[in-house]
Amino acid sequence: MKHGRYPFILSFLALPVGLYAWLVILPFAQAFQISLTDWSGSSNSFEYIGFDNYVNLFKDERLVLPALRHTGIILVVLPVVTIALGLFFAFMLNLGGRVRRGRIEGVRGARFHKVVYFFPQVLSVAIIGILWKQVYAPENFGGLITGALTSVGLPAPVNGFLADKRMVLAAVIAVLVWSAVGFYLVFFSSAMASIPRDLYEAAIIDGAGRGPMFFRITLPLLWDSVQTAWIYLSIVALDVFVLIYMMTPERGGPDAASEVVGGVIWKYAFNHGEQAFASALGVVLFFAALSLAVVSLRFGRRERIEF
Amino acid sequence: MRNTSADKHPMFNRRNLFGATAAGLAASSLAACATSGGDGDGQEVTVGDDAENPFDVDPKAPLDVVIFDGGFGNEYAVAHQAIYKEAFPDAEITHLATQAIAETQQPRFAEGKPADVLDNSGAQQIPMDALVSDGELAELTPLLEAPSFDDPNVTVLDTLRDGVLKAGTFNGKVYALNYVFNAWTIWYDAKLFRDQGWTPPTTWDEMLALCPQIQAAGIAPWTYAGQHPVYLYDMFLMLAGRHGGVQVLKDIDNLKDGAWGHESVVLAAEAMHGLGSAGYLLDGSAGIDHIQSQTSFNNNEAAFLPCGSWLPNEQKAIAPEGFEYAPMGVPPLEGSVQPGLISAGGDEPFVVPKNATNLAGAYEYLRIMLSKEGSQIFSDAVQATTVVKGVELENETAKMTDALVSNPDDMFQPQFRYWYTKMNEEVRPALGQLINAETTPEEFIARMQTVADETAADDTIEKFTHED
Amino acid sequence: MATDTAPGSTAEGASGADEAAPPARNPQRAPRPEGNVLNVFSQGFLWLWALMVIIPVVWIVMSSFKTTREIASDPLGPPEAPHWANYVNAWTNGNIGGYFLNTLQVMVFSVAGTMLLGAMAAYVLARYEFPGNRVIYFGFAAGMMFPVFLALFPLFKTLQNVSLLNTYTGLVIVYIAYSLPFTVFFLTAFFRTLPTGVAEAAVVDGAGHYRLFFQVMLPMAKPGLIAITIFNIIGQWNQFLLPLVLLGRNPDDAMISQGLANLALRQGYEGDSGALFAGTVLAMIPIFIAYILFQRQIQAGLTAGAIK
Repeated sequence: MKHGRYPFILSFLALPVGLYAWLVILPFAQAFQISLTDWSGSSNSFEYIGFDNYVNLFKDERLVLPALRHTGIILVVLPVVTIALGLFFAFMLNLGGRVRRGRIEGVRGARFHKVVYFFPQVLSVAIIGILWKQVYAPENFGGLITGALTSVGLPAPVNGFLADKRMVLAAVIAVLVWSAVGFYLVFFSSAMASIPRDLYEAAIIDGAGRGPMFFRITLPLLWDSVQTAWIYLSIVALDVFVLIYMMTPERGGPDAASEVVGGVIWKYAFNHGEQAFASALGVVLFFAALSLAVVSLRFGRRERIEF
Repeated sequence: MRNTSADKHPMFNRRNLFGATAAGLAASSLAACATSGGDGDGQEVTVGDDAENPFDVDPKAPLDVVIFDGGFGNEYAVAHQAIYKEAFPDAEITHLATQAIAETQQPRFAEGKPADVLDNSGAQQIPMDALVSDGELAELTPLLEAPSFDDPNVTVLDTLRDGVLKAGTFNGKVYALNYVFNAWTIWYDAKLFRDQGWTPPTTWDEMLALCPQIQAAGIAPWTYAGQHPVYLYDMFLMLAGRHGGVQVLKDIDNLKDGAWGHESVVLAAEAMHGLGSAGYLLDGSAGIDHIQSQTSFNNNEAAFLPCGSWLPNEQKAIAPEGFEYAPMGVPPLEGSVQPGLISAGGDEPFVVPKNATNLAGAYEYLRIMLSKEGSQIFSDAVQATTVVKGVELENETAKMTDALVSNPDDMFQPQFRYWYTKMNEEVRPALGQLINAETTPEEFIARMQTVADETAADDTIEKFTHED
Repeated sequence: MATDTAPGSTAEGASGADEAAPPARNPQRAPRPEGNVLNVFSQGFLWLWALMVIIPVVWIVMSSFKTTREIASDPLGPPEAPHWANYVNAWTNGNIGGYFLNTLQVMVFSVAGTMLLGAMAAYVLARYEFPGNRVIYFGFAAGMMFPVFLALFPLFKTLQNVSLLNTYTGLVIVYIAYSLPFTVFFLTAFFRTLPTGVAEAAVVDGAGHYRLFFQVMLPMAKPGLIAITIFNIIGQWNQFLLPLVLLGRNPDDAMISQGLANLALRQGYEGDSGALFAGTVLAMIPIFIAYILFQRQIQAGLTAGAIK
């Protein structure tokens, strides 16, 4: 297979890599260049100001610092909760059912659940935003959760969840989890399906319960998938923005309580007329994401190139 | 934050020269754009003698119009373009109606190839302060000096209502034509008040005295669009301005030292805070948008609602039977020295980019908009008045609004929100916190004074002041 | 793939029999109490979550049949009578039908292009060792972390320079470029899992690199390709920022997501929330159908991706 190897490789890579470099890499390089200027975004003049934008980023206590904090919280909470729920659901749907003739099964209605859980994945963020805004609304404006809480005698925030500084971020994260869990349920289910059934059946004969079964067999064998999920979810976490834009008061409020990095970039670029400053923040976000991914990939993956 | 070190390091002062020296950095299309567009020096529009075509429009030149497709829609603009087309049948007109002004138009400015006429409005407008300080806008002086469309002996300026240009004026230069006449008022249902035997309050104290009665009727005294605290901006500032006189507000706009600490501003902040702490806001107000707040107002769930003149038009499809939209100025505090002060004037800024390809055509288009016919088209289409004199609406609500704005000396639109994006971004959340009693009036004042001081101290931000 | 014998489907198919003959279920030992408690708890929780998905969606569908006044005054109640006018409004005034066709026109090419180019790159990166392999692979992977809105202005410029701004061709190549990171990342993992035996046999038979790819490897990778195709369809169907900026010239050319956003924004000015919900439902339907039709393949394709 040595013959014509490199021409082949080249012919297959030229177009995708070329297109990618031209339309993705190059624009990003320009964004980096912009971040070194004072460009407003609506003018054709600017000057270079070195790394001032980067220095000023970390002095901005109104938007940037809260946004970094909130993005950090999402970066931790979203993957943990989503993966935990995804694993739990996947385990239940695939292995949580009765044991029949020595074979272990998923709970009843597993197929139905899989279809339903995945559904939010196909909704556009715009639709999800419209939907949950109503779910979180104040009680007297038709809020589903506030209404439910009050009807069972529990306290509910009078202005709804999204107008409450203490609740808004948690409310946003809940929606993110809601829309992501289905994907990871299917993702982990698929991985679990590839674990030989004999392992479980042997465990059942040994009298192992579901809990030990999960922690001794499923989780270790799923570790690669969990890591992949972690990376995907980290990317989602860093990218959270459109949902907040659609859902929260003042697109990141109230009073910056749900401001995230993506939203601040947007605000500076298009509402403040400070494209260069926004670009600097974008570059920081990019490198943060990149190092996160590299670290996970480096430590988490076996190299497996064949031929 | 823009351009922070440029002044300290003159070596970086190479504005516009960059294109020639940047070859080293990437295969930069950004560099190309720095030299492309040009700065419009070659194009100077003067007002000629021909009253039919004062700007000497090239009849064949295409015209590029971008309209903000919001509450007023864009049908009126299509009709304006038909008039233009009548005068210049050979001109090809490109018409774009969009809500995403910044996203679609900013790159074109950066490119040096902006639209000819831009209705820079809506939530995604391009910040005016950035456009003005970047020198991207053409002054509208030629338009204002030109003979009006209907009468060659009257200039365009003289056809406009008093004071409506203030909103588009930056350091004495008019950069935007705010086409729609708007007054920010407090609304109530006149029928509800009649039926309940309530008198619309003429002072803040009367209002406070009425609140318990309103509550007794099972109605919340106030609501507002909590998700958009900008609806409180004019209410709060008029409360302060009425008490201390318009100079208080001018001082705030001019970033005068300690302007926020003025007694009148403090009293106004305390009054706003009092609404929330006394429980006079409709439950849930902080969490609703303008549509929801207006709906609950329509349903008589709340008695007072701060909003602009467009309210009745916006509600006409869903207003309940018999509802009578009635506007009033914010009830003044005790001891107010200028109780008639009202935030009224032009709204919906139309701008002409300096690098517009068809600058003359753009002025002509605005001149058509300001004609009697153009103005009537707009009023008929959207039930709102333009800034043109003598084309007023003939309904009860419009007459009540007209009565509120009868004295030009009492008309004032606070400007810092438009002049300084940074302050705009601070005042909105701060007001939301204040009216819900989440912060104290002292904290609110301190917060606003801080951002005002920061703005004043930042050399990179271009400053604007009121002339008088 | 293994998931086609999805454990769920067996369980459901057998559920009737389960109820008929419960005692025959576990010949070895009696059901452990722990298992029952877990089962009750898990069933409850599973249904709770299912309701959390179903209720909001049902609410949207329900609202789409209500008049705007009904939505405003009684957001939770059912419609008094089905108000089909919302759909007419969304379809005609909102021009959802037109946007739908526009989007289809673009996506036929962009999805096909994404899959072809993505598969080519992923295959080479997965199965051939050569200098720069890792660099290119991580280069693609890094693209997933790229905040799209940062690139908007440079992209605008780039397309303008080659006269592709405001054209579908321009949008197609941009969609392809921005879909490549995820596609390549995922398919590379997938190609790595394919057995080497078949490929070696084909080589022994004298197949060249190209034939090997198109005739042997691509058919073998079908489950992965289908899954990623679906994800790209969903992703591109919901794409919002790119068409907004790169197709800003003529509103009639807009994509479906922009059309929907227009409805949402207009709703804020004119208050026609009925049409917004109807448009939302209309935009949901094709994606929903695609998902129901292909969900088996999605799961099958994910299997390979999940066990790198």
